[in-house]
Amino acid sequence: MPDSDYRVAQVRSAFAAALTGDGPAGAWVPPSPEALAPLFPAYEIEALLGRGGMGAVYRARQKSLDRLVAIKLLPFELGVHEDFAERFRREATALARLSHPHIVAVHDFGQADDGHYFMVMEYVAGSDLAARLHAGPVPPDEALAVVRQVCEALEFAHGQGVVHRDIKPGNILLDTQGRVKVTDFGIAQLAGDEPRTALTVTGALLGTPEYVAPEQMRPAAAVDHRADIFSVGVMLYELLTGQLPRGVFRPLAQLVPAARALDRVVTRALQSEPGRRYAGMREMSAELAVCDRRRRPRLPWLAAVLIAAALGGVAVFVWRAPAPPRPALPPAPEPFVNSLGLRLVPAGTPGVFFAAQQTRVQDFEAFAKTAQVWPGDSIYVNYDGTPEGWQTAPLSWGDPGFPQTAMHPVVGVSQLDATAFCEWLTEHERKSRRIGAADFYRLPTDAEWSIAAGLAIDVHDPAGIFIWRGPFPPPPEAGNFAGEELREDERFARYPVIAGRRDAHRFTAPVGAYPPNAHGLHDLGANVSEWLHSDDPGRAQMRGANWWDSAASSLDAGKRRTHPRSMRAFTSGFRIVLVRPSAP
Amino acid sequence: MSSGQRFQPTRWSLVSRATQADAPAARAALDELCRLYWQPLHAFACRAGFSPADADDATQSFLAEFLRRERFGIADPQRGKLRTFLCTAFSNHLRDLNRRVATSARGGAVPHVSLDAEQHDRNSPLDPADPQDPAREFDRAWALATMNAAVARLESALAERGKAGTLAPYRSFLGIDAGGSEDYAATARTLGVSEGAVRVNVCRLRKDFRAALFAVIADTLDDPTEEAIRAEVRALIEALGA
Repeated sequence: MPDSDYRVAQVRSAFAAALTGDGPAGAWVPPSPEALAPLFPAYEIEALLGRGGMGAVYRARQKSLDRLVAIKLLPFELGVHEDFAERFRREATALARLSHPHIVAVHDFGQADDGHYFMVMEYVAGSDLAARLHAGPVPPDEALAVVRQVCEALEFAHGQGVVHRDIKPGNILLDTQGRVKVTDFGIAQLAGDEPRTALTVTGALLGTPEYVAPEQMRPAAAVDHRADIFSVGVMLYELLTGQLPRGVFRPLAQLVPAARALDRVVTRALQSEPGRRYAGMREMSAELAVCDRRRRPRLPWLAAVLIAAALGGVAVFVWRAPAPPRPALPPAPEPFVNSLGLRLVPAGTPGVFFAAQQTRVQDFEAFAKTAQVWPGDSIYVNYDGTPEGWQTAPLSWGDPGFPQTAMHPVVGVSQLDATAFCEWLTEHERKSRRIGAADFYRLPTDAEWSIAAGLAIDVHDPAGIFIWRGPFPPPPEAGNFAGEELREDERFARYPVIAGRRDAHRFTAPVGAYPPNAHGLHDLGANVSEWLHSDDPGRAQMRGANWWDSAASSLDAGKRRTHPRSMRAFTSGFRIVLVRPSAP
Repeated sequence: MSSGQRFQPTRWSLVSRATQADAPAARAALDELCRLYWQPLHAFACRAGFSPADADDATQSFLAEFLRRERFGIADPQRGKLRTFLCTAFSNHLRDLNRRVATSARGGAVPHVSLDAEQHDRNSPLDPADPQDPAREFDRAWALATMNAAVARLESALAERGKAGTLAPYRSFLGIDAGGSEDYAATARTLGVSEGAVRVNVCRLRKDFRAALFAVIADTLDDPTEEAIRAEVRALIEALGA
């Protein structure tokens, strides 16, 4: 792009704005009710009820229905962060799914004309459980009554596929009758979401540390409805004792003898291993109901029998009931063949489709012909396998120094080349309407690659396991690595190969020459190392071993190689993924 | 991402701190940087009196020599900023060229060019206005190249998030395009969204642009602290204002 496209004065002011436009978001002042009025003509804004880090809440009267509502406003600066806007949207979506007497109802959601995101919710006159706790521990009967209602609300939410993930006293509203309303589903996990941990990409903690389950703190650990069970356990303990159950905490029976019966419930809910907690809210509710019944020994005889029968019935039902309903699995998406003839298949990450094969020479050729590619003047080669052996040679992806056909995987391409390839293909296929306007190609992320390879998301380096799931050395069908055949090339005569292994491919193998993995992906973890997507401006990682690798440490399934994004080597290629946000 | 890696090298720090062992990485990083900042070097040569064609050759020969030298055994964190380093190195290169031209073709048809030349090429693709100092022209072109790189980075970041077309209607709000108006209401009407949505998007894109600009600049610094990046932005603003 010629420089004349930019007017000097404008660039100057763009730079100046970049220097100044980063004030802290904490400066937000909630608009006064008067200032808000013109933006919400259907409501009379009565008062600002309060503000917190995540917004301000107003009491308002909906003129058409003459009812009180609460309007929650997301601070403008937070709305600008997609993360926060998304959380706010998520809360509205979650609440809209949940019509339950113990869950705050949402009436409307949107963006006001001044840019503020807002949510109109049911108004609950009263206070919250945190305020109640300020007055000291809660008597066991009252605590039980509150927690049982919370359990009821969460049992319903879980049944709808919603996990709250931030249960704490501040999010439990109490109306003037003592009825419970669960609120603040801002970080809820909805059915169909990828399981997320308490940490966002920016590293900010989601949830409140004192109450979140241990798995919510672990990066990349799966979090399900049992995280809420843990949080309810923390809250119950706190209600009864006025203390948080930290570290090795004292049993309830020691602190509150009257609540001895609840010890078992708290202990089970607070198991750090989700599998050792209650399987579902319903099971926890039932046990709380039993405790509740035991706490009322002097009830009239008939009533006691009736209640016992009813609760017993519930309990019996619970023990026989299957696990709480989980969101149904979406139908398996169809494989997709793109304009280059590459098959893209689901590989464990929803909405992300992996190319069944590594990108071929012919694919890259099609790209290089039509797009402007910096050809480069050399690639890295290494004929002796030592770290010092790397040297540049005047070669390129078109001629990497060994024979290849159009069906061989392209090598000698940088991560920048591979990224440009993805952008080119996206543009090309969007234009020809082969993919939707929101669909795009990119390189896989580290986690996606692990999942596609059947590994844990956070598989470490080294993992001590191999892609073929057996011991070293690899069985013949595992893929293309450096066997004795490589030494037949005189440049590699002294190369340290995998002893006793001989495969048909001295250098790279044509894509798909070896059997696919469980997802139908060929050569994943072999043949050529694959560049990954990178958010780092300078460096990127590669996964998978290649035709040149022979050491067990290089073939380790957890192995990562970090390099400048612009590095081109005769061992590295790439595999693309297609992201279809609308796909199931 | 690999864990435990505290120091994230920039492209320039890879070059300036390189030892023989990591020459491959350094060379690739340098290659990338030279691709981005070719234009300022060319502008320097033009301002120094070279014709556009000769400036092409001078830039090309400089980069080829620079890239092939591979003297990465001498790590020198004192190299500081890529901008100042390249400016000095290129200036020396042009002096050498001049000297060679002068000795081999003294009195001939080959034009004698001087770095302090009063004349400048009005056909240069750059703004032909003052200043005449090649080094200042270099800085000015550097600032514009930085803008180009930042916009390209922003666009590719958006594309990676599946939002390839997002920037287009907002270019004038960000100072990327000349002309156009910063009329929120008009833009909202054109896009068929609320004015609030436009305001939020502009605000969001400004943040994204800032991140892209800082990242581009960080890559030219040896030790890209927040303060160092800000100082460089200020220097570029100054270069543009001259």
